[in-house]
Amino acid sequence: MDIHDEQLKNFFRPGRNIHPSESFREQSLGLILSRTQKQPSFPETIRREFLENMKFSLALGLAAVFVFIALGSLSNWGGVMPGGATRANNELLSEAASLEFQIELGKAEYFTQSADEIALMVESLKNSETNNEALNIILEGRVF
Amino acid sequence: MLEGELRIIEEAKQGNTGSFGLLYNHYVPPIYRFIYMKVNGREESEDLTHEVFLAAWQNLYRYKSQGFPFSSWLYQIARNRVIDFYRVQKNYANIETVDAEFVSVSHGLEERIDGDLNLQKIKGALKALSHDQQDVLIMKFIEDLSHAEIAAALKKSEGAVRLIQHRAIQALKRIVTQETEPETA
Repeated sequence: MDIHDEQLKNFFRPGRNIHPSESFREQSLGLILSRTQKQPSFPETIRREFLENMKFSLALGLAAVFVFIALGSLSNWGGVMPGGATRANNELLSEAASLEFQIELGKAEYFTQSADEIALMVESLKNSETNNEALNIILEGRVF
Repeated sequence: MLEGELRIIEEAKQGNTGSFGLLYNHYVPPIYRFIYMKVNGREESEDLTHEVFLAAWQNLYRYKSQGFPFSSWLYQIARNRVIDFYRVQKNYANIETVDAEFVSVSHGLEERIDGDLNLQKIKGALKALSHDQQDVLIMKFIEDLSHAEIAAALKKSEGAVRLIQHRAIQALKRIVTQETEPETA
């Protein structure tokens, strides 16, 4: 015997005919409304407010964490892609190589300038009446 | 669901007796039926129904709408009241403890008052089921509630409610088959 929804509804149909009497309804409602409603106590109000705020803060915090993780994942996506890491490494190496080259050019320029100045000073030593003056200039570090 | 229910509830929360009267008149029949199917007599059903609505009126500030009808909250109160009723009234004849034969045959006082043998048969069948199974069948097949509404009232998931319903129907099938077998033999 298979019981379907309709059969069950038919089986339970007598239950649908149960109704409270009108006299009970009137009396009960009158008694209920004669009683005063309870009001939440101060600690309970505080607790409820606190819980509400906590829920909001928690939701906000979780959303922030989610965004943080999502952005982190996206920024790291290049490394996950095939060949992504190799490309990034090559870029870094070329940057490093150009940086070193620029440093060496700077050094060469510096040495060129200082060599000229030293030659000038040596010339002035030759021409100066007293050697002390030229030595003082060198010692004061004006050349370097 | 009552039209404009949320507004009516808010008004009732502010102490508006007329608004609570609207809620009461709309929901007292299903709550009464629910309780009546779980206890023995009309008097006990009326007392418990009164207690449910009194508790609802006094604690209305605790109610928070979660998208389900107000009845879900009332059913929760009703279930707890029925459980408390049987816990306190140890000597009271629970439908769980009443002999099946007594319930199914036409000798009960309740049957004479109601004049409805079928109602006794339903109660007799429900008697063999667990409280959760009884609640699901009553809400589903007498009150026509959706699984979502039943889940909200029982504080269970919809999946759990469907499972309870399935098991309840299987159990009911066995009971009905057992009852009809001697007649057909």
